[in-house]
Amino acid sequence: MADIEFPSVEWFQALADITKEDPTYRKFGRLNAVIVFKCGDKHISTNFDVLNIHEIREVGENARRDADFVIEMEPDVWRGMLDDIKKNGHASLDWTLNTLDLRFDEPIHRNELQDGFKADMFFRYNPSLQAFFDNAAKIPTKFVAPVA
Amino acid sequence: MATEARPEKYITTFQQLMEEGRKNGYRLDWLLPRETFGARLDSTPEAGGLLLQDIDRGPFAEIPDWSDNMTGRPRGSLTRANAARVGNYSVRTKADIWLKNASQLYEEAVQRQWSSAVDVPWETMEELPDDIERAECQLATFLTEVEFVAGDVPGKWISETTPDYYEPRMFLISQIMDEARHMDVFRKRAFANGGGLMSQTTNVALSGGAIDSARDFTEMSARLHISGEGLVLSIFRMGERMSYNEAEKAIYRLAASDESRHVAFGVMHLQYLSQTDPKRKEEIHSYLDEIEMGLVAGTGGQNPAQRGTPSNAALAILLGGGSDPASMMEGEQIALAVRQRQVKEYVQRVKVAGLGERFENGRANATLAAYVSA
Repeated sequence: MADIEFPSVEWFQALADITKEDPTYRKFGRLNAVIVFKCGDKHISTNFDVLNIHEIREVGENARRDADFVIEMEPDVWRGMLDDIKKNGHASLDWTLNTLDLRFDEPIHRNELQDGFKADMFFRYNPSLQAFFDNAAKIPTKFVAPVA
Repeated sequence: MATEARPEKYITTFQQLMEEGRKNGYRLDWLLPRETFGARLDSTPEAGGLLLQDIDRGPFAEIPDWSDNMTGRPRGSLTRANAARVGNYSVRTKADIWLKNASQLYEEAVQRQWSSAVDVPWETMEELPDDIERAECQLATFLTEVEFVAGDVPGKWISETTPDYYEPRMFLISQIMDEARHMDVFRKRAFANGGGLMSQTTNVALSGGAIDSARDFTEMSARLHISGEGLVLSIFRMGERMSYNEAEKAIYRLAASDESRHVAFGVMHLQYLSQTDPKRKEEIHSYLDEIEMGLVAGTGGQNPAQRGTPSNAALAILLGGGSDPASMMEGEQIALAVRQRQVKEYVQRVKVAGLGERFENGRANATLAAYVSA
């Protein structure tokens, strides 16, 4: 497989294709949430619809308000997390989503409208989301430097 | 949901049966087809299978605002005049227990069940420094005790609830299974690496006092789901962060997922109540007044950054990476930061529950406001 640029729709689509067949994901997979992933100035919206992962598309800043929650990290943190996953086959102790959420002054997840119920989906679906990103170990990734 | 009409032959067979019964003196009126007969439900695994919300149809989906069902009759089924009163249910008003998405949360709970025996990679545990292992064992002891309460408290409300509100009832049953699993996984963690259970909590309130004495389901839910489970969720999240191996990571991650589902139940129930029975809002605010006093003072154990309890000292050791003063100080600072998150999350949950005015009109505890603005 040729290197796929991160962040991009193609990269998240490749991750979704692998994850949909992943038994770990399917075990914990009842996930109903629209999540926007933000890296630099790129916003990728993804619809996690029970066991399907679809409607992956690049969106504008305003679309964050329509998402159940947003996961936003600085480009170097995204890269650190994905490098760690590639190295270990999964996120190691310091690079899991929950640990990253607690590492910085501000959480990496939020609901744009401060809806606590929707923001809490980050915790409810965390095992599924971790399984999703752990599959990034299988994707040859080429990092591009998005505008921060 | 796609449906498929029943073939005509079934209806013909039914009519023949009724005729046969009449001729021979049998009462076959119980065979009368119900409103949903003749339609089959389709489902696919990709869409989540056949879900409770899919079968909410016709009279079976009519949820009464007040229930006179004292006989254990399944909602929507036909009454039987000589049915015994098997339940003297105290929760028979819809607003007292209902929420919009109980079916979804229940289905999610069922689908996300896990096993502490096989879903935790216990083999990744290695010998830890003595102070760290002792702190792990103390925290595991504390969480085993907490989860015992969390399973006990909702249990008594299940048999108090009319079967007409079976969705929240079944969610509570799933919660008890979750809490049992948490109890077993933290008990296992205490022993798994050559340790064992340590000291019982010194905090009487935490061992169930205020929550267990709740006189009303909503009072219980506010104290347990919004306050207690919100606290435990924060501890589980800290636990995931301070894990020393993949086994602990898995334990805390999976337990936090369960716990946040319980929080979601409480938030959505309070939201339903505040929308449909607003005259009770003042009463709910009074519970929140007490909850916030506990949050600030830590009297209910809600403050993981509080000093003086074995479990919080254990947290500081684990977060700081050791029992020397500098490490513990660092651990306390991390716990304080998580505490600020915990309070902010509490505020967001109360707002979405429809009770956010307390943060605008000065009623909320002032110390909480300081946390939020920090």
